[in-house]
Amino acid sequence: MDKALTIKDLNVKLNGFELKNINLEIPRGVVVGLIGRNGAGKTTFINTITDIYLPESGSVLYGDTDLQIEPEKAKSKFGVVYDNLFYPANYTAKRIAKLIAPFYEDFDMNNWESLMDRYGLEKHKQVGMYSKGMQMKFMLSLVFARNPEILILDEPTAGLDPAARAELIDMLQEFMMSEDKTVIFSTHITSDLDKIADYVVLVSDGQVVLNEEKDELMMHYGVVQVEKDKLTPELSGRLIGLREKEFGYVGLTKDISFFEGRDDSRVRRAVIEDLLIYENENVKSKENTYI
Amino acid sequence: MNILIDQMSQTPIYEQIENQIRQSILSGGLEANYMMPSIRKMAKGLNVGIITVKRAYDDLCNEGLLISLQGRGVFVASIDTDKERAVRMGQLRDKLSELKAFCDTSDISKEELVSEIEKIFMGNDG
Repeated sequence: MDKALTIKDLNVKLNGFELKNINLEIPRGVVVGLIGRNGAGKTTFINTITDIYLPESGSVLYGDTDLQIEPEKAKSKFGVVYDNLFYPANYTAKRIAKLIAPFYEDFDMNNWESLMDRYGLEKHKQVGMYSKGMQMKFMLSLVFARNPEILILDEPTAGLDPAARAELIDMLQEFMMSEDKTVIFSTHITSDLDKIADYVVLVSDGQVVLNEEKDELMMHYGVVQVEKDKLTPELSGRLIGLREKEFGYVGLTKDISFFEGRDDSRVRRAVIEDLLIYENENVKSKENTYI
Repeated sequence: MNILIDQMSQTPIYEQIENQIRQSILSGGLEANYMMPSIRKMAKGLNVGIITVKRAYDDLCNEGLLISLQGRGVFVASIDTDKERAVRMGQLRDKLSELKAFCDTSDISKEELVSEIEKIFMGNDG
């Protein structure tokens, strides 16, 4: 499959924090959810692939364009939305659009204006007066006005109320209507965005510890409860992040079919959030590293 | 066409989509040659991933219930009685393998299962 983004042997060192040897291929036309606990390295990862941080080694390719060799060409392919507004709050939306337009060859002012109308945003209002949800839409409008191939969002749902989150998801799916578009978003609240993700990339302690098609994950991963006196090595060997609770043990399995129909345990299908909850040293074992 | 997704269900989402489309086709709710929504349109409408819908369409194409025409879209196949029967038998086999798994873990023999099924067909199961 055609690749939207290829990351090879990427290493980043930043005052005490590291991204270690990241290899990742993201096909064109899909939605990728980058998940991980706070401090796992999601933002560092995004800042590196968007050319804010310089890697120690390795390469980032948008299509065939290397971000370090042809930064301008690579940057024209993607648009980034961060979790907060970084434009002056007392500027009007229109003023900001005029300010940034010259920096992007492909910024289409007419397209931007019609997007603002469609989103119901007042162009001559100071952006500081917008609600958090409106600010998110405004930032998306600036990116969509350039019609990028790849949309990168850092914690887009942070601070949004449920209605605004639903609207954001709708906008992302609208963007995905053309087949060559790709969305990469990071989040630590996984419940709403995980519905639309096609791939899940789990970052832990500066490393990519899992990269898989979401449906595959959901098909094989389960959360297992085992009664107190029934935990055998046969069971515990199949459980990740095993922990003792008052009424028994609970852990994550990659082999849900093993646990189905057993009378010593109960199993339910995992949701993406469970990957974060049960993630521990076990998750980082060699066999779990898909890349 | 109505498709309802239960996010809490133990049935994978692609399978829920698949089952409902299959049911609509077999019941005649979706007629032959009907053009299915594009994968991306359905993904947006259902709030699910693109690959999830693609998987459901692919499976239904493999079963012969849908036909994908390169560059034109995905269409409902015409279902003759042979094909319908083949699909129904496939569904029966799925249910039976679930039943077998249950018998295996519950220590119920094949003979006992067969005898119970016969009782149901004879109408004297209780």
